Amino acid sequence: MQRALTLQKTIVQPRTRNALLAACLLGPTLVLLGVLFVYPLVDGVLIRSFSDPEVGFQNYTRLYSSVAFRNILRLTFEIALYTTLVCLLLAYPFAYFLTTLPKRRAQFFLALSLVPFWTAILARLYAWTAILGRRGIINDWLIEANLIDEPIDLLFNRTAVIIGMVHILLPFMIIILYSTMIAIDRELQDAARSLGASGFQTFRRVFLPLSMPGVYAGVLLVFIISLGFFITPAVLGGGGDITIAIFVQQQVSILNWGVASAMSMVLLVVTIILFFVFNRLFGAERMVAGALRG
Amino acid sequence: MTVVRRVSPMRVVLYIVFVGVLIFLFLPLIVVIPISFNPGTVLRFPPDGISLRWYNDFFGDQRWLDAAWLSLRLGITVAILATVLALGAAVALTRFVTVGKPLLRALILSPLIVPLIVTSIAVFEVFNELGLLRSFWGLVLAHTILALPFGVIIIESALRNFDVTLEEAAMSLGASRLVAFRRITVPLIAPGLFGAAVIAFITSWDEVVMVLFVGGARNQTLPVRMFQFLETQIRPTIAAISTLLIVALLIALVLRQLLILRQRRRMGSVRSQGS
Amino acid sequence: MSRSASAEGAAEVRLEGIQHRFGEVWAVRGISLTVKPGEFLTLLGPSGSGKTTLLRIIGGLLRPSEGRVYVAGQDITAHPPQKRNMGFVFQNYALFPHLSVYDNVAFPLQIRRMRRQKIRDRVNEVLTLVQLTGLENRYPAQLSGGQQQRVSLARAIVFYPNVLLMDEPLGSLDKRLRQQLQLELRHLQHDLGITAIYVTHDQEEAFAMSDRIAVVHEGELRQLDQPSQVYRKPGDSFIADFVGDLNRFEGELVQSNGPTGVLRTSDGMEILISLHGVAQGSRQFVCGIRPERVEVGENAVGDNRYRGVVRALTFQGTHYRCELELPNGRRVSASIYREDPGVREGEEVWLGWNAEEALVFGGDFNSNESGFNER
Repeated sequence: MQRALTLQKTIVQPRTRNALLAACLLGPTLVLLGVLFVYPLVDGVLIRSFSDPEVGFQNYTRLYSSVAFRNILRLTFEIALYTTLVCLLLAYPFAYFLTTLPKRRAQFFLALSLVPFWTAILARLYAWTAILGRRGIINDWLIEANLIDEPIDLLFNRTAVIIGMVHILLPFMIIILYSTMIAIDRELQDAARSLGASGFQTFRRVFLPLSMPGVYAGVLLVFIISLGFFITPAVLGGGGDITIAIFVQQQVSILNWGVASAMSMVLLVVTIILFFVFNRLFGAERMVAGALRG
Repeated sequence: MTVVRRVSPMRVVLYIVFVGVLIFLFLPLIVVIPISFNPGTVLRFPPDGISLRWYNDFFGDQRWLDAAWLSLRLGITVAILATVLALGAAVALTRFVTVGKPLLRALILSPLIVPLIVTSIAVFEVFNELGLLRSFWGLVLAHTILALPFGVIIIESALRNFDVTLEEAAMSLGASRLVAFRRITVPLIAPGLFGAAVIAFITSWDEVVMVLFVGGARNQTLPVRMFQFLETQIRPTIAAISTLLIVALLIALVLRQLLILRQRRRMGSVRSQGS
Repeated sequence: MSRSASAEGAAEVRLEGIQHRFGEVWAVRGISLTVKPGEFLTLLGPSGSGKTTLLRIIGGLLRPSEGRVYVAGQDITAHPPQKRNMGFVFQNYALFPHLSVYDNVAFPLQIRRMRRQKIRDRVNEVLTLVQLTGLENRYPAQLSGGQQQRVSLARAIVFYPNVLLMDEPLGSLDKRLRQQLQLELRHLQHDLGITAIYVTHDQEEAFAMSDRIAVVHEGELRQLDQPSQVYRKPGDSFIADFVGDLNRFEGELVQSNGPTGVLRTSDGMEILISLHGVAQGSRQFVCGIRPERVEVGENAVGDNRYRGVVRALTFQGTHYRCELELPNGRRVSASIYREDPGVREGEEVWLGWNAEEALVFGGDFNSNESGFNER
């Protein structure tokens, strides 16, 4: 026990000097975050939502009483939910399949599945417009194959948005699920088999329950990120599909800062609550996998 | 594999999903490349012929080149600034901070949690007051804030995996604290620093929302110009740019892999030395 | 930096009232000792005894809560490690993985801004000394455990330190290599004439290498003596137990007759003990007898003679180890150094020892016992 303590406490320096060093090292970062992030959030969003154009709750009451507000909320949540579910349905078998491969090959395919993740988002969105558009590849082929006469609308609707978002978020889900699954002790499954369980029973009674923490983490993370997406719905969505983020941008463009701030507060509060759940369950570390790229 | 194995139907399903997901993930990347060589404005897949027309569109248009140059400058500046700040913060957090650590970390990680659109409208007023609106350095600071959390997390984990005895050994051999840090710690956490810089670069390189809000019309980065182009036109110029970006990425990934291999061959099982 | 500290400049190390506390835990509580110039002193103790903490304090990696450290008469308590000119060999070697063997060893000289040519000469000299020539361009990960150990030693002596500090440097090596390196280390230290302080929990290693041994337990210095004395005349029953196997009998003095007395244990055994040099006035005693002092067989003689059943007889290479059970259920072990042990398992035999062969400790045997020496 004393050894552990010895290692933990390294070169002893006077306390004050440590505090000074810490201040020097952290100072610039804290000033930057304080002035250009925390203060703006408080002053530019929170306070403004109650004071622009005049002091009071009117921004929130206006939001709350409008039908559009509820539609926007519902749409945003729906898109986030579908995106999350599709990600899970695709990523779970994918990650599970990876765990059954030899380690080298699994790592290769994992790295491979991350290549799109590093690709510029605008390039990917453009590709989807080229694939799904009225004069896009799919319509082209369908017409050539005489399956349809008129091009069908695949782009600028909710499905297109979800396809685009799934494409962006799927790698996160894969990483989180794979890292949980690979940590599951192989011998537990061998043990279950030796006790007479079939392959499917082993999966359902041993592997699935042990992989659930990863599922929860992935679902929460992907859902949280989905809520704030702006670029993807703006490019792939139709004009009628207004998400929270797009609504905020529209309000700002007509200089309606008060309403934009109030809506931002709604999004922020929901995100923070979900994040606290996430943090309580899994710790903030996992968030790094969630390189927010929306 | 000469052994004949009974393949279960479950395995077949898994395999199909696996291949399907890979195709889905790579479809946009694969599609974009042939389109970029398409001679006509109308998308054709596979293309009717080969032409460099859309590449000419990009390289012949000063506005595109300016946008790319701005993105590059911005990305590199952000990578350097964010990595330096994150290194300081990570060292302080792992070595010196004893009280209030969870709060500090929460603060540093918070730009990751707050949706971009919210951050963007929040900073508008302050940027305006500080004269950062529509300026290069304003964008640098905005992107640095977004990149910091990744940098801190990556460098912190590198520092935590770093064996502090090595620094102590250097000091017992006569090195001052600073020299020990520079000559022993920094080279050994270099992969972490590099990773932090790369992520910071990509964060900036790919970011659209904040630039739209605080960048102004004169500071059009490549992704912003692509975004606005996408909203108004359907010329495949973007396919050419996308292809260039994908090729650049692939080259970078291959280089990284080579670097890792070289590093591994040399330092090998460093972690396993001793007890 | 002190270039004067050449090989012949072995320094005296003096500790005065060193205390160290981690939070609420006292790791070192008031240790004072002097290491003579050129001496090889071992800090011996079980894990958690505070010996490593003490070594780190001497090396400047920890600043003591209380007390002073003097080297060659100079108070260096406040000096940072880089100003102490002490070589430190770490338990896991702490070789710089990104530097070659050559660069690892050259590191302290480069820090001291020595000229390139002189560095080359000195590094080659030291690498020859530790028999590592030809491995200059290897990286630590490409070396065996023993080679890594030699590099870390070379690095610790290359800059002519005044004092060499070693923290269980052989702990992770296999037994044969460990014994070989013990000898080499000892010779090297002797040839360099450098003051060495060595930390280990292995009493055999301590016996093999040290001029003197400082037994540390629960943060206190329990005994400071030559190896043979520590073994033959341990200062207390903890040391007696720690430095070698011991059959322990705790009991009350029920009868004393000049230099001898009778000890009665709680399970009713009566043992004749020598009271020579034992503190007067105490009634509680621990009598300890080493297995090699216990005679076994029909011709077993001695002041204390008992019947016992051989429960286990195992061949140990140099001797037989015999576990005997006394009628009251107590176990006694004995080492038999005979080609033919003369006893068989299950057999009832005589065992015995002379009173003056036993170690006797007075008084407070309850206060200093940790769990592992209960039999």
